[in-house]
Amino acid sequence: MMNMNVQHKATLQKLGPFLALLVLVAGLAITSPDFMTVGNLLNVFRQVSINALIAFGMTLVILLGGIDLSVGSILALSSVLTALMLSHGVDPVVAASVGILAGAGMGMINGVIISKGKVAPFIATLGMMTILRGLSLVFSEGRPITGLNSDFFAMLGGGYVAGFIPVPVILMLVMFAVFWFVLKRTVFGRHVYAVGGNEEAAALSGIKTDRIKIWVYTLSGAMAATAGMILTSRLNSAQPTAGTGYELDAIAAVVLGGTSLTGGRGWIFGTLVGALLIGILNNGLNLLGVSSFYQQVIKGVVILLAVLLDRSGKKA
Amino acid sequence: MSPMTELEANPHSLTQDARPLVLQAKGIVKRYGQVTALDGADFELRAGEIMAVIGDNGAGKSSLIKALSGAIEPDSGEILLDGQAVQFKSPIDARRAGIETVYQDLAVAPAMTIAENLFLGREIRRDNLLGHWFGALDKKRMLKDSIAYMQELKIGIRSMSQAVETLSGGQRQGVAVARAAAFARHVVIMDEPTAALGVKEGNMVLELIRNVRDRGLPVVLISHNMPHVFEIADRIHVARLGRRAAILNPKAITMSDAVAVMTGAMKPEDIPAHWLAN
Repeated sequence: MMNMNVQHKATLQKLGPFLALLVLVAGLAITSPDFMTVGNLLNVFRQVSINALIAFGMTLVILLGGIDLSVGSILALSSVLTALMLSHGVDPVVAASVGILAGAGMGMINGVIISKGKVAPFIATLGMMTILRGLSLVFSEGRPITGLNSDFFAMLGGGYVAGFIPVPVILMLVMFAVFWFVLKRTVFGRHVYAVGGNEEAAALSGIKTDRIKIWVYTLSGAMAATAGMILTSRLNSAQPTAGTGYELDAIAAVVLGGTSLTGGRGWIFGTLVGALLIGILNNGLNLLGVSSFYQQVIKGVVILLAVLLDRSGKKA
Repeated sequence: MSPMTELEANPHSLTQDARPLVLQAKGIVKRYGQVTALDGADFELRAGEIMAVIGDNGAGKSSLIKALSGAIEPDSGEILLDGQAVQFKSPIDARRAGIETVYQDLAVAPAMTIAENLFLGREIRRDNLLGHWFGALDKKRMLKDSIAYMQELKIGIRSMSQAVETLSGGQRQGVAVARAAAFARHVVIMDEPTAALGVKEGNMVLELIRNVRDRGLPVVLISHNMPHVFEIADRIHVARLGRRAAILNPKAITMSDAVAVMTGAMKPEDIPAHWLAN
């Protein structure tokens, strides 16, 4: 009986963010006539996609008990690199691929510093965040890079599938499915949970914990760079200061979704819901004409409430 | 006491020699700087027995176990597994050779389910392209095997998909022991498996250790708990001053006799012959 209750409670708690999302959507549907239109919803989804892509990678990092503060800078540097290539006439597929690989490489450096160098993830990625931001400014000479001249590349952020579904939304959903599969159904995913849950036990069970960490930070870098491609395509230019503060939005989405910052527990569905919560909250507050100053206050309160509710649920 | 009752009291004494040696250590030396932790320690474990290891703090008990489980590399001496010399550079090596260790601090991932913990680091992949290329898990099979396995060991846990953190201390220890027993091909080493448990839970784990032995796996049991040692050990290895002081027969002696050997109050050369297990 006790166990049933515990499990019941755990399930309810897990669905908490989803229920909050439903309440928010219902509330906005009633108060704002513009909210429940196909056009607005697709727009919200497109805005959410960049944060969601970064947050998917961040979910794995946080499941390990780590943190990745460098995602915003990885986004900017890979975006600058790709834009430079495009403006020099490099094939868009090559330019985008190199940009994403470069992001993966930057993530891999994070992973190596953290696992082999035994540096705390907060410090390692804080250092990388500063270094990569500096390099973005160096390579772009501090100016936006424009003149990308590629219709194909422009499709990435601005195109539509089947005439009305934005390409970034498709990308977000595909990556969601991939991450869901990886976490729930593969050996790698299970090892991520194990390393985050009890690193010593994982190591004693023969799991190569360093290798898992390096892969996870590599993935996080690749996802940040992918988000960077979409942003660059949308803006048709690369900004060396792009992505500043994005790490916090991604962390907020992960935490709102119920993934624990101490590692070992969480899920990718929660992160998708968390990203949607943040995006819809932004959109709804705009539609309701709430001043952008108050929007920040409300967003912060929502994040704190979510974490506090999560906490109290665990103690009980 | 007539000779007949002594034989009855120690039914193993005639048959034990016939049991093959599974794990053996000869003259193990381990030094940490100036400190000699192991000074030529011997060890033996026969098929189908529970060998308890007792000893005072600093007697070399845990160093010996660490050498056997691959956690430390001896400076000299020999470890034989099924008569073959082996060298363990890490616990992973020992595990690969078929020696599983249950650590005192419960090596489980609390948020993961029982089935997930049982197969931690040894997940079964699906036997198809997804399994081979992407490491897709065969969850059904692992769940089925977990249920069958826990039943076999008579661990009364209903749902394999409940998180280990929802279990009691004894049940968690049960999961750790079951995992070791499931994958050990030769030996299970248990480091203080009942130390953190209450009376009832402790007895449950003792029963489980007996089940493991009865399934044919020899067990090395390190414990400070004399009543537990005397309840389930077939023989008792007494570590003292970095060596083996004696192998005692728990059916022929009292706990205070064992303590006397352990503390040195009874010198090894003065131990009566009938105290010893052969």
